[in-house]
Parts: sequence; structure tokens; C-alpha cells
Amino acid sequence: MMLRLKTTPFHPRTEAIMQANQWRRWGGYSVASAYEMTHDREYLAMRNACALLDVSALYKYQITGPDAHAFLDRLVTRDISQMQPGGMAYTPWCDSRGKVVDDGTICRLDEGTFRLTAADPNYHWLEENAAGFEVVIEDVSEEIGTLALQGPCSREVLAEVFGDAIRELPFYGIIHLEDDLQVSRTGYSGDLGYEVWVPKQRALEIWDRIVEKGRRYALQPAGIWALDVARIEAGLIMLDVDYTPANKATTPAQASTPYELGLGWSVHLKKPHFVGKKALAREKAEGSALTLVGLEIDHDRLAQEHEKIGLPVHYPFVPWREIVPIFDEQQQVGYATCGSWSPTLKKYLALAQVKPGSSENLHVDIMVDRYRKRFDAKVKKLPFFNPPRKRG
Amino acid sequence: MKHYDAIVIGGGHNGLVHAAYLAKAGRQVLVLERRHTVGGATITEEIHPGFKFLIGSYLISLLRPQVIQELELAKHGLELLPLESTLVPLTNGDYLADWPDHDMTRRELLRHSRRDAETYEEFSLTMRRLSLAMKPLLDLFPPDPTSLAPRDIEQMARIKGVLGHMQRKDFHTLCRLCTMSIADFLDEWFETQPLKAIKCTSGIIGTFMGVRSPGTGYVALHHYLGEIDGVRRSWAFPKGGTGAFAQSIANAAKAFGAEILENAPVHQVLIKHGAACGVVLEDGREFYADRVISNADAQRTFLKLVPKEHLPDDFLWDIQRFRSASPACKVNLALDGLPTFSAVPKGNEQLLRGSIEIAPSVDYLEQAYDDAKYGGWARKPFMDALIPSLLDPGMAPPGKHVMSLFVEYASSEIDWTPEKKAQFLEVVVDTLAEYSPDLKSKIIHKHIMTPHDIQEVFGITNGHIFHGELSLHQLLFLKPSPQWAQYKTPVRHLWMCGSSTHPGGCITGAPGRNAAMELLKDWSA
Amino acid sequence: MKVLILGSTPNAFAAALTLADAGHTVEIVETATVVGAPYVTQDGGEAGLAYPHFCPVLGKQWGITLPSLAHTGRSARRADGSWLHVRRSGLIGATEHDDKAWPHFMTLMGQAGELLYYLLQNPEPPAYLAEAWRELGRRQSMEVLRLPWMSLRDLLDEWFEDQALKGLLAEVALEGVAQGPFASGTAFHLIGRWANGQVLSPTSLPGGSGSLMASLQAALEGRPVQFHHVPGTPELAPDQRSLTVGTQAFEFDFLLSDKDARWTYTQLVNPRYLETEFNTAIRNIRGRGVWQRGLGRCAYPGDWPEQARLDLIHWEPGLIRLEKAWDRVKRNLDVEEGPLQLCWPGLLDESRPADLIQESFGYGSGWMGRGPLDVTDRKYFTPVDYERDWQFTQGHLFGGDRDLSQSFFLRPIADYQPPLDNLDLCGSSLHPADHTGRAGAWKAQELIRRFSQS
Ligand SMILES: Cc1cc2nc3c(=O)[nH]c(=O)nc-3n(C[C@H](O)[C@H](O)[C@H](O)COP(=O)(O)OP(=O)(O)OC[C@H]3O[C@@H](n4cnc5c(N)ncnc54)[C@H](O)[C@@H]3O)c2cc1C
Repeated sequence: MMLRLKTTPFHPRTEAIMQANQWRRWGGYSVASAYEMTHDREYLAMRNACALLDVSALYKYQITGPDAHAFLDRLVTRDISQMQPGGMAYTPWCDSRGKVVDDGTICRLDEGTFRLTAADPNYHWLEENAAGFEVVIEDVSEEIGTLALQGPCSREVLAEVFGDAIRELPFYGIIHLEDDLQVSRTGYSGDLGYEVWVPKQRALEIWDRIVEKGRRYALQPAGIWALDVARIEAGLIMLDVDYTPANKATTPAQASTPYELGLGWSVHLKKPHFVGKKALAREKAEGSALTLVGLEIDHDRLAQEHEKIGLPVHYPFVPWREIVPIFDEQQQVGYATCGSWSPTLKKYLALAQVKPGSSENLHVDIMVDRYRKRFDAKVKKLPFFNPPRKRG
Repeated sequence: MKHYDAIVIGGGHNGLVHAAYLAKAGRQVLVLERRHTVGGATITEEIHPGFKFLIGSYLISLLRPQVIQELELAKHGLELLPLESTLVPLTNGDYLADWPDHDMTRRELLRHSRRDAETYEEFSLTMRRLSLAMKPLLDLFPPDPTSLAPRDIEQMARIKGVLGHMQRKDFHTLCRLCTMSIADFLDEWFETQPLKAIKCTSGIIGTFMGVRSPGTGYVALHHYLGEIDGVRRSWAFPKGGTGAFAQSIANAAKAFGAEILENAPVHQVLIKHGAACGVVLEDGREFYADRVISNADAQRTFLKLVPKEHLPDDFLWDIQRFRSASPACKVNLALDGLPTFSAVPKGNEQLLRGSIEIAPSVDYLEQAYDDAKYGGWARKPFMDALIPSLLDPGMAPPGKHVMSLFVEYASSEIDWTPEKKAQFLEVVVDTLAEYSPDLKSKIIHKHIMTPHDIQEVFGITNGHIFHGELSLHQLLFLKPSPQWAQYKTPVRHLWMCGSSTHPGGCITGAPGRNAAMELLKDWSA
Repeated sequence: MKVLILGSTPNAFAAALTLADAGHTVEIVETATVVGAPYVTQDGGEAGLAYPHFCPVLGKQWGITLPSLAHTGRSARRADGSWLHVRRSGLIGATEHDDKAWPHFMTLMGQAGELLYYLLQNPEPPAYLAEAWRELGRRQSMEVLRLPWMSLRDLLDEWFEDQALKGLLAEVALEGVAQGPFASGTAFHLIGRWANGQVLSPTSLPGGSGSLMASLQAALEGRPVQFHHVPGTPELAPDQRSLTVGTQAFEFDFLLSDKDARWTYTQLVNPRYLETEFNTAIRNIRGRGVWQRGLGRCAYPGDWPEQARLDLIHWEPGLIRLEKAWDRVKRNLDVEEGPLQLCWPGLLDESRPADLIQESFGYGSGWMGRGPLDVTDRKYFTPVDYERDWQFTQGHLFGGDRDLSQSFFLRPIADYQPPLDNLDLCGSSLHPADHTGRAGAWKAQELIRRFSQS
């Protein structure tokens, strides 16, 4: 046995199309950053045709038992007490300090079966939360492969693969197909898109069927870089990039609350007790330390500054993930966590957390060749990109 | 006869560090070492031709980074080779490993417990936060809490500041950890026996307490305070063995102008008008200095080297009652080839490059303690094994290997006759052979250091590897005596700089450095 | 305000009386099969604890003064048949070395005990504590500071040479404690016992410790407190406004639980209504009951010394023997030679049968052996009984171990804040972890302040 990272159930296919050995780690798996030499086409497919993404590295937990519904409703900040079979919802969940442990989706597969997805391992946290409930928690992460098909043509492709039922699927709906697989209308691209949940034995078959039918629609397998550009445009946050999970933070300041992450809409203080409710109610009343904003960085001037010294203009095509200070005049008021050039919007975008009440006109330092220069960064409403087809 | 500014009794690593700092500050220093070579318990010896044995310490982690920097040890020959993994072989053919990589460790733990695979990271982070908070205490002199002297109050305030910075939750965890047994503490985190057991071992290294005894939580934390190049909680093997590390400090000390005299056992500290003024060696030679600093353990220093009449009764009693009963032995094996471990799957031999722990379960460890605590030895001892020749080929002839085994528990109270010694060596080899069936056929030479040998060879009372127990009632301002815990002693101009003083044993260089800082301050005052 | 108190230890009564005196309406309901645990007297013998330490200050407030009967001290019978008697005034039958050390040891323990007593007498460490400590002088203050971290073995080996004396003291300290004398921090338990006088002058009550409970009940007379004994499983309504036991329902504005923290926050309150980290901390409370009582009939042996008649008698105590017993108990094995204390309460108290023998098995979680005497009509009360009949989690009589890691600000859990708005603890799970009534009275005072603010 050699030391190797795990591979997903789709690996035989993804490996075959990998051109430049651009693998990366995600949740203990090797997954593609991009299959082609650059990720441009992969991204463009996601916005113009459809892109096929292997997102099997997500953690998946199946919750059953008489108290499954009540258990999940107590676990997360969002009120999911009314969720019907076939329903799905995105929500964060917190610890008792109201700090986000993780975020993901919950779906109700049938009357008594729920599935929760998470970016990080959560089995232990779920178990800790099960005290007083009659539930069975199973980690099905390795049993189920997940493909995301995102982009304007995704509906057509999947309808050809799985039939017309797909067309009826509402935003955040999930249906059972072919007994053992499900399709949900979800994704991480902020676009029309679906996720296909398949038992790992059928992974290759499903991949092949989708790719086959997708050919007519210019389907393009895509890696994480392309997805990262899309999710920044969509203003969607990412664990370990935009926030540190509560149980991994070294200092309290490193951990974030849903309010700080722009997820205040998913905190339902009116529902009965849930983890972190007291702390979140307090925060709601007293105000948050930070708030998530979208930033549009002045790329025109960035271009000018480059031209001034005879350099070609720099475009951050590959999204960056690091902590970058954000200033209001001379004062640091927060930090950006990721940024990217948006080929669709033709803007330089970033996600940042800043003190509430900061100006709308902020600043950020960027390297121009070998020197640091300050540029304007305007606060913009999130999501930056929100096409009607996403929900339509 | 030359008159020195300072004489350091003993060339253990703390004595050398201390001497180097004094010399660096421009003082004339003489180090007197009773053995043929300096290093004390940090030593490499070629007991069998061609095979370098680690008869004392074997790994470095707690060494203060300042000591490396300020004494320029890298320039003087220190090379550290970090250990990557920990392997716990089990007799049922399975094993548990802590790989050098987060994802691999998680995957390995998943084989044993899904829950533990996840709590593992949280546990490591918690311990890291606690050790981050505690670490500054290593470099402080322990303040006297009863004193209203400005320096003590300032120091207390600093400790309060250190603890005040902690998150409330972490502070409470720290309080609990220090007052709980390591086994109880780990029960809150893990369910896998071998995982709990290896984490428990940090709590019993060198310590004559069982994993279920409160106080072992603190000892575990003590072993978490280390770092190699800023990587927390990592252990490294010094190229050439710990002896080479000692040589690097000796080189530094000499470069700063210190003199080192070997084969120079001190018989007594010379005291005139109540103040130390030099030493007389066993061969009658005398050396004089303004200050005498003892690197020997407190009991040896005050019960052997200083005439009783110079010591107050209270102090003498404190030193007599200082607990130093020791449970630790050291075994070295010269091997004709690499032994195989039945639990290690083919292809995973890289696991042998790390620590190999014979610690299959918490009960195993507790039983080992129970066997020994009434003055016996463990029928199935706990062992922390290492094959240094896999990391540094210079440790054994090509193709051959050395194996270093740190073994607990065998009581220092045993009357260690040659027969007993041989018997216990058999117990150790037999136990290990349960995990490595071809071990015995590969042994060319075996060597054991019982607590008694450690006492005789290194001159450490009862052979306690930390110069006295790391129990809570012997820490900080209680170490080694409630009133004399700031490196000074009741005899004017006689100081201490060894592991009996704060922050205690292990290869840290901290007592030597802290004592030097205090002494130099005192001198200039 | 209408306060319901669940449980009937002295802490429950102290809370009830305090609240009632402040004009609140109080109901006490006990759902265990007996009332007044752990001070339950049956046929003249104590099924649980025998030496109550109800806080005298509180007692005075409610006119509760009980004549106490002081035992003469403690005795140890050594394996060779010789005897050691431990008295406040000194040792009888001890070695010369120990005789000399004894007064100094008493001084040290007295000083440590007094400081601890200050801590136990106050909800928060009082300001005068540091002063009192400093007043001991540099040497003694350090000696005292060193004590709580030590093992009983380290401590007693420093002072004494007689195994019987060391064993006797260690047995007193470890009675009901799930640790052996070799473990660090066990000396802390001896300071605790010293602080309440239990080492040198244990005192019992005429008629048994149950008579304390009778007088507490009597004190309710004329006060707005109702007492109900409804054996069963209490069910808390989801809105936390009422408690049902069988067919009876009790409404309240506030519920105080005198039951231990683990029981309260797992059996009474469904953990699903609490924060997750809180539940984890509650689950991690340690408190394994390892103490067992034996009651039977056996006359005081004629060949035993007169001097020991009114003593608590330790059977062949020794540090090693004690540790060896613990070696077995910690592995859930039975012990034949565990720590055993004998006493004839009837010899001190005429209201009880003269041949009533009371045995206390320090590590009595399993089979304890028969002891040295021919005891008839013997009845055991074990942790299993205490859990089942008295509703004490794991049969631990003090709401969880009282070692350093679960004392003071770490009790019942670190940073304890009552998680529900109208429910809190009031029993021995709280500092000072005993049945003196203080925990109950303090909690009641806190509530009274809170009620008056809102
Ligand atoms: C078997 C063993 C394994 C260990 N393993 C590790 C490990 O892996 N990692 C780790 O960090 N720590 C380990 N330790 C602990 C660590 O080695 C010691 O705590 C540390 O080396 C002590 O250093 P020191 O300078 O204070 O004292 P010592 O190293 O004991 O030095 C004291 C010196 O004084 C000399 N001396 C004594 N009396 C006289 C006299 N009268 N005249 C002249 N000289 C005298 C002695 O010969 C000796 O050289 C181990 C210890 C032992 C014994």
C-alpha cells in the first residue's frame, strides 16, 4: 500500500481527460483544478453551455430515525421544520457561540430519510448533537458519488439522460430516479444547475451517459478553478477560504457567525431552540463585528498602472485565496478572502468581510510589477451575477 | 592557580548551555565533568564497535529555539532530522499509525473509528492552543507567590497576562488537564484504544505515575510544549545522536571562551564565610571561582556535594523529600538487519522511520504501572522505540541497524543485581519479539540502562530522567524546594542550573539558560 | 414567585427555607423512593452517610440545633492484632517517630483545612483568604500550597512510618473516592475531610443522620412550603412550566433541581433543548460511586480494646493494601481486602441498638468480602441501590467526584451557566459539593436577587 490520496468514483474518467496533471487536494481526495491546460474553457462552458464537475469530495451524511427531522431542525440555523419529501435547503450550522461549524445542504429524500452535505467531516459533530434524539447517523460520503452539471444547457442534457421529470424540478428540489439515484436542482455556480447523486457502483455509467448526451450541448468537464470563479461571481462562501470552521479556529476572531458571512437570512430566530440560538439572538440585537461584502476592484486603474510602466495588463484569471487587508482611508476595516477576474461581468471581483458601517468606497493594495499600489474597491451588492435562469 | 568567574559542576546539556551563556557574556567559565565526555544524559556511545547507542536521551523537541539561535548551534554542528510518524503495532496483526500528513492520518484513523478520525484534529488544535499559551512559562523564572518583591510581582503579572490571553474555554481545559489523569482526559476525546494509549504515553514519560493518575495530564502537556522549526509537537533526531547535540553546545561554549575539563568529578563545593568559592575534585585538585553553579540534580548537589552544616534544616528536608523514584530504563540493540514487524503491511516500511510505540491499550499501560509501583517491573512494559540508523546511516555499519528503546516501568527501588538486570532485559526483548518475530535472530548485541545504571553512569539520583518527578507539587515555585526555586540556593554564590530547576527535565536548555539570565542579572546588580 | 424544588437532600430544604423566608411560594417534590437521601436511617442504622455537617449558621437561622454525639476518635487494628488510636490529643500506640511528627502534621493540616474551609463557606473565594494564607508566613504558606497536588502516599510517607496510621488517614480521605492513594491530588481529599472535622472528631446525631432530615421537615411548619413525596419518573413539560410525576402535575415559575447535574440535564431535561457543548461537558462529569454501606448485628467483640468502643475502627489499614484494593476496583473486579471501617453507633447513642454494627466499605462497588466479624442480618446498600432508589447518578453521593478537576470554578462543569431560563441546580453538584445546605441556600439567595430585579 503506497501513500496516496483517495480518488473519487469518477477517477477513471477524470484521470483519462486530465491534460496537465493539475490535481489538488479536496477533503482528502485528489481532484482536478482544471482538466485542460488552462481553465478558461471550463469556466465559459459553465456560463454558456454546461460544465460537469466531480464534487464527490463533499461529505454526505444520511440521517434516519423517528427524530431525524427534529434533530436536523435543532442542528441548523434555518427553519426546516416545514421541509417536505423532495425538498432541499442550504443552511449553515453553528456551535453554541453562534460560530459557523460548516455550511451545506439538507434534503429530505423521503418521509424519514434526510441527507446532509458538508464541506468538512461532521460525523462527530452530528453525533454530539444527537443526545436526546432517536436518530441514526450514517456517513455515506464514500458510498455516493456526486456530479454537478451547471450551466444554461444543464436542464436539456439531464432531461435527455433522465427524462422529462427533470424539467419539473424546482430550484432546490430533489427527485429520485432509477431507484437508487437522485437529481437535485442545486449547485455552487449561481447558475441554472443540477447535482446528481449516484451510488458509487454506477458512477462511471452515469458519467458516460451524461457526457454522451452532453456532447451536443458542448458539455465540458470542469475543475475547481472554474467553479471558484463562478462561485465568487455568485457571492457564495467557502469553508476554509472565506471562514474558518468554529472547531478549527485558534482564536475566537478566526471563527465567523452566519451574520458575518452574509447568511443572516438563514438564521430563523423565531423557531424553537437550535444550537447557538441564544448567542445569535444576542448578536442580532447588538450587531455583528463584521459583515460580508462584495468588492469591485478598480481594474481600469490597475490596467493604467501597468501600461504606465510598459507592462501588459494583469488579469487575475485564476482566483486567489488569501487574506488581503481592506482599507477605509488609512484604516484597515476588514479583509478580503478571495478574488478573481470575472470573464462574464468583465470586472475584478473579491469577497471581503468588513466592519459594518464602513464606507462604500474602500481600498486594497495590489502589486503592480514589483511595487505595491493602492486601488479603489467599491462595495457591491451580492451576488454579483444572478441570472434569472438560476431559479427560472 | 587560575581564578574563574564561574565554575559549572557537570557538563550535561544544561551545564553546557549555562556555561556558554556566561562565557558569551564575557565571564571566565570552567565546566567540570566527572565523565570522560560531556553531555550527561544527552550522549551517544559506541558500546558495540561500529554501533552508536543512545544510552540516555534519544529525541529532541522541547529545546528552546532561543538556545539554538543565541548559541548559534547550527553553526556549531547541530543538525535535526524530524520524525515523521508514530506507529503502534498490535499483536492482532493490525496497527495504528499517525502519518506525517493530515489526510493520511485521518484515513488511517477511519479504519479504527470514524469519531476519532474527526476529534483527532480538534484535539491536536486544543493541545496546540494550550501549549501556545503555556510556552512562555518555560522561559520565565518561577515567581515566588508569597513574595511582595517587585520582580516576583512583575513575573506573577506576566504569568497572569499569559493565562489572561487564553480563551476562557481553553483556560478551563488547561485547569482540568493539569488536575486530571491523562487517561480520563483522553476518554473525553477518543474511543480507539491504541490511539488513546499513544496519546497517554506523553503523560507518563519519565514519570512514576500511571495513566489513570491525576497529574499525568500536566506531564502530557509538558511534552506538547516542543517545536522543531516552529512545527508544534514534533520530535527530531539529532544527527549523530543526542551526543552530537551536546558536542554542538560544547563547541559553542568553547567558541565563546569557556573551558571544559573532563574526567573531573567534583568531591565537594568549597564554602568560605557561608559563600561558595570553588570546588575540590575527588583527586584533590581545587578550583576557585566567584560563583559555583551545579548542573547535577538537586539531591546529588545538596546531599553529596555540599556539607550539611551549610544548609538549613528546612531546605535539607525539602531536598530529601523531593520525589525522584524513577520508572525508566533504556535499552539499545545492535541489529544485523532491519527487523520486520508483523503488523506493518508490505510497502509501509516507512512507518519504521518514526516512533514505534509498544502501547496497545490504556489498560496495558496502567497494568505496566501497577506491576512496577510496589517496587517491581512491568511484566509487559511500555516502550518507545526508534531505529535511528534509518534516519542517520552513520549510527550503524552499512546494512546493520541500531534500535533505541525507552522502557517503562521498572522501579529504581529494585535491587538491580546483574541477574535482575539480565532478566529484565529478557522481558523487554521478549515483549518486543511479540511484535517482531525475527527480532531475536537479528540481535548482535544488547545493552540496558536500568535506573540504577542511569544513576551510576550519569550521576543522576535514582536515575530519574528529569532529575525528579514532574508532579504538580514539584513544579514552578516548588521546584526543587518551595523557597529556593529561582536557581539560587541557601548557600551564597552557589546556584543551580540543572533539570531539578524550573522548567524541569527533557532536552530544553531552559534551566541552563534561565539560570544564566538570573545569575548575570544578579551579578551586575 | 412559585418555586418548585425537586429532591430532598438538606440542600433542597435549605433552598426552600431561604426562598420561603423571602416570601416566595415553594413546593418540594421528591420522586426517589426515599426522602432525605443521603441521610436515611433505617432501623437505627444509616443506609447512607452517617455524619451530617449541616451548616450551623443556616441551622441557627431556622432553629435547627441538633445535639451531636462525638466519637472519641479513630482506631486502627493492625494485622498483628495491635491497635493504634488516633485522637486530637495525640496518638496512642504509635511509633516514637510518628508521635513526634503528629502535632506538626495536625498544625499543617489544620492550616490547610482552615483555608479550604473559607473556600467552602463562601460562594466565591473571599478576599481574606489570600491574607490568611500570607499570614501563615513564607514557609508554611508554601507548604500549604504544595499539599493539594500531592498524592496521599507522597504526603504521608513524608510524615509517618507506620503503615496503619498512613492507611487510616488515607482511608478517611478516600472514602467514596474513585482513586488510589498513590494518585496525585488525593491529598486534597484529606484536607477536605480535615476541614469538616471528620478525621479526628466525627460526630453523629442521636437516632441517626435521618434525624437531621426530620428536623428540616419540621422547620417547614408554618412556612409557605409544601412537601410532596411522589415516587416516580418526573417529566418536564416541553414549555418548562410544569412537572408531572405519574398523575400529579406541579406548576412553577422556577424549578430548582437538587438532583445531580448529570441526572438533571439528561434525565429531567431532554438534552435536545440544551446547547451541544453543554451536553458534552455534562456527559464528561466524572463520578463513579464506589462506596458501600453495610448494616447488621454483631456485638462489640469482648477482646477488643475498651478504648476503641466509641471510635471509628479501621480494619488493618495500609497504603499498599488500599492501593492494591483500588487496583482491582478500577478494573471492576471484586476485592476481598478493601478498606473497611466499623462502628457501633448504639454504644454512643442509647436510642439505637447496642449490637448494631455499621460498616463502611470505601471502595464498595462490588463484592467487599465479609470483613473480620460474624455479622448477622447484614444488609448492603450499594451504588446500584443509590442510583436506583435515590436517583443519584452512578450511585455517587456528592453529585460527582470532588477532586481538583471538578471543584470550585470547575464545578459542576467549567463556566456553568444555567442553560434554561427558569431551571437551575441547587444540590451538591454545585460548589461546595456537600450536603451542608450551603449550595441550596446560596442558589436560593441568588434567585431572590434575580426575582427582585425583574
Ligand atoms: C534514559 C533517558 C532517556 C531520555 N530521553 C529523553 C528524550 O528522548 N528527549 C528529551 O528531551 N529528554 C530525554 N531525557 C531527559 C533528558 O535527557 C534530561 O532531562 C537532560 O538531559 C538533563 O540534562 P541536565 O543537563 O540537566 O542534566 P544531566 O544531563 O544529568 O547532566 C548532569 C551532568 O553533571 C555531571 N555530574 C554530576 N555530578 C557531578 C560531579 N560531582 N562532578 C562533576 N560532574 C558531575 C554528570 O556526569 C552529568 O554530565 C532522557 C533521560 C534519560 C536518562
